Amino acid sequence: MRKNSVAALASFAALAAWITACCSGAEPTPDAKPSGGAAAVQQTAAANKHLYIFYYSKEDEMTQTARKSLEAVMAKMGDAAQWVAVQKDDPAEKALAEKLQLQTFPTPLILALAPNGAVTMVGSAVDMPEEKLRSAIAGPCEQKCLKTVQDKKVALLCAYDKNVTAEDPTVKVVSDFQAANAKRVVVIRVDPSDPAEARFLKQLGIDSKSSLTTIMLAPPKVLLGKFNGPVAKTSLVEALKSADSG
Amino acid sequence: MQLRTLVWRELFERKNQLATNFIAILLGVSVIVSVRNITVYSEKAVARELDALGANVLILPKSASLQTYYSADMQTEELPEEYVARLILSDLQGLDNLFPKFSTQVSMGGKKFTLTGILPQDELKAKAAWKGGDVFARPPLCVGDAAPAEPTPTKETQFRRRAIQKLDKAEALVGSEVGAALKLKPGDTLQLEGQTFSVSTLLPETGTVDDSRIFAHLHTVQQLAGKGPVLNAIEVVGCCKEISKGLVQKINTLLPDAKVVTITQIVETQIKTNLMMAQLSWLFLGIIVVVGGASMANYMYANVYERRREIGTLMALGAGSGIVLRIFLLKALLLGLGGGIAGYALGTLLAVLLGPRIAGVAVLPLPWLLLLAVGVAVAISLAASYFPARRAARMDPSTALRET
Repeated sequence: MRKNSVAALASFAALAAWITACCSGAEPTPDAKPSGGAAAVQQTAAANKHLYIFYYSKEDEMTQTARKSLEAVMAKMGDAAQWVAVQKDDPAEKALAEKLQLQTFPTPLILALAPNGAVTMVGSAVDMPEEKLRSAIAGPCEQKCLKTVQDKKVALLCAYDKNVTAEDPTVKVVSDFQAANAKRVVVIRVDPSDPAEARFLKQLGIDSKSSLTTIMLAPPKVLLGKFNGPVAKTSLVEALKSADSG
Repeated sequence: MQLRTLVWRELFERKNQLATNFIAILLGVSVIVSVRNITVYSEKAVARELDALGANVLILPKSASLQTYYSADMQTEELPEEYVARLILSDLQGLDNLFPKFSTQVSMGGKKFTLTGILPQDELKAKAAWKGGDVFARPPLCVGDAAPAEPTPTKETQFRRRAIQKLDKAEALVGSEVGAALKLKPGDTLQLEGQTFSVSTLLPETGTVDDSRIFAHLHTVQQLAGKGPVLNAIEVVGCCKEISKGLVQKINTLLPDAKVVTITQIVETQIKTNLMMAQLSWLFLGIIVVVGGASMANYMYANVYERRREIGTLMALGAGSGIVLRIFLLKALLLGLGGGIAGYALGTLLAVLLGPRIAGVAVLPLPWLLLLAVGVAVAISLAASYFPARRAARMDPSTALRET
C-alpha cells in the first residue's frame, strides 16, 4: 500500500514537472533551427565572411530586377561574401528584422553585415552600383571601429607601427585613459602599413608610413580628434568631452 | 434738481429705446473686441513660430487635411515609418533634423491626454551612419586645433529645436499644461496604458498644442497603440532657408504618396487669415460707426422731439442752453461707457472661448482693448448725439411750450 502511494506521488510529480516545462516557454530545443536569415548571419560570422541581406516585401518586377543585379555582383565577389534574401512578412525572420530594425526601412533593401555584426552599408537595392556593394567589405580594423561606435562606445584607434612598444609614453597614456574609461572606450591597434586596412586608413587621413597616430571615433560615426605623434592625456579627455556635446 | 438726477431720469424715460441702443453698441463693440483679441494672439503665435522654427517642412499623409501646423498630426491618417529611412538614405541636402511623430490618446486619472511618440536623434544618426561611404561627419582635427567644447543643450532646448538626442524607451517628456494638471516634476513616474514611464523633463510653455502632450519613444507609443511602424507626420528642420525652398519639390519626388508643406505655406495661410480678421475688425468698426451712429442719432432726435415740452419747461425755469446740451451729451456718454464696458467683457469672453477653435491659439484678455472699446463706444455715442443735443439746446422755450 505504502509502495503504491510513493509510486503514485512520483508519477504525479513527474506529470506536474512535464506540464510546467510545457507552459514555461522554455528555450527552444537544440534541434530547433534559426531562420534562413539568422542562420546565414551565424554561418558567415563563423566563416569570417561578410553577409548581404536582401530585404524585400513582395516579389514584384522591381524586386526581381534588384535581386538579379545583386546575384550578378555576388557571383563576381566569390568567397569574400554571401547573400541571403529575407522577406518582410516572414514570421521566421521577425527576430532578425527587429534586431536590425529592417521593418523601418523601405524595400527592396540591401544591408551589409561584417563578420563581427557591424553594419557596413545599407541602401536601396534598386540600382545599387557594384562599387557601393564592394565598398561594404570592411577590413578587420574598420569592422572593429564600426562595431564599437554602433555599440555606442568610443573607439580609440591607435595607428602605431611595429617600433612602438608597450613602453612608449603614448601607449601608456592610451592605456591609462582606457582604464579610466573602461566602460566607454575601446582601444583598437592597427599597423599603418597593413595593406588590408589601406582604404580605411586613407579615409582617416593616415599615411601608411606614419608611425604614431591616435584617432578618437565616436557614435554615430564621428571623428572627435586626430593626434599625430605623442598625445597627452588632457587632449584625449577634451576630445572625449566633445562627444557629450553632440 | 441736480444735473445728475436729470440725466438719470432722462436715461430711463424710454426704457425700450435705451435697451435697443445699448444692445446695438454692446454687440458692435464685442465683435470688434473679440476679433481684435483673437487676431493679436494669432499674430503673436505666427511670429513666435517663425522665430523658433525657421525653414521648416511638414510631411503628412496625402489624404490628411491641414488645419494648423501643430495640430495637423492629430489626424488619423498614417504614413509608413520607412519614409524616415527613405529620407535618411537619400542624398537630399538640408535635412538636418527629422522629427517623426505618432500620436495616440491615453487616459489617466479620468482625463484624456495625447501621447506623442518621437525618435531620438542618436537613433536617426545611427541609421544615417549605416549608409556607408565616408567615415566622418566632421573633418579630422589635428593636435592644437581642437574645437572649443560647447555645453550640452538642455532637453528643453533640444525639444524646441526638434532634436532630442537621446530618449529611453520608458522615458517621458511632459508638456507644461499636462505637468501642471497632474502636478508632475522630473523624476516622477507615470502609468499610461499599463506602461510605466519616468518623467525626465517638464517642457516649458510654448503656447502650442505641445503644452497639452506627453512625449515618449516612438516605438513604445506604437506598441501601446497596437500599431506597427507608422507615423502621423514628419517634421523636417532644414539647415537654411535657401535649401528649404527647393526641398519641398525634392521630397515630393522622393515621397510621391505624401503631402509635403512648408512652414512658410502654412504660415502664409495663417498670415492671410490674420490679415483678413484684422480687416474684418476695421470693417465691423466702420459698420458700427455708420449703423450704430445712425441708430443713436435717430434715437436722440426722436428723444429731443418727444421731450420738447419738458425741455421748454426746463429752459423756462431758468436752465440755460448749456445745461440742456450737457444733459443730452452726458446721457450719450453714459450710454457709451456702459455699452463699451459691457461690450469689452462680452467680446473678451467670446475671444477666450472661440479663439482656440477658430485660430487654434490660446487667447487671454487684453486690458488695453477696454480703452479701445470704451473709446469707440463713447465716440460714436457723443458724435451721434451732438447735433440732436445742440438742437435741443437751441430750442425756443415759448415755441416748445406752444406746441402741445
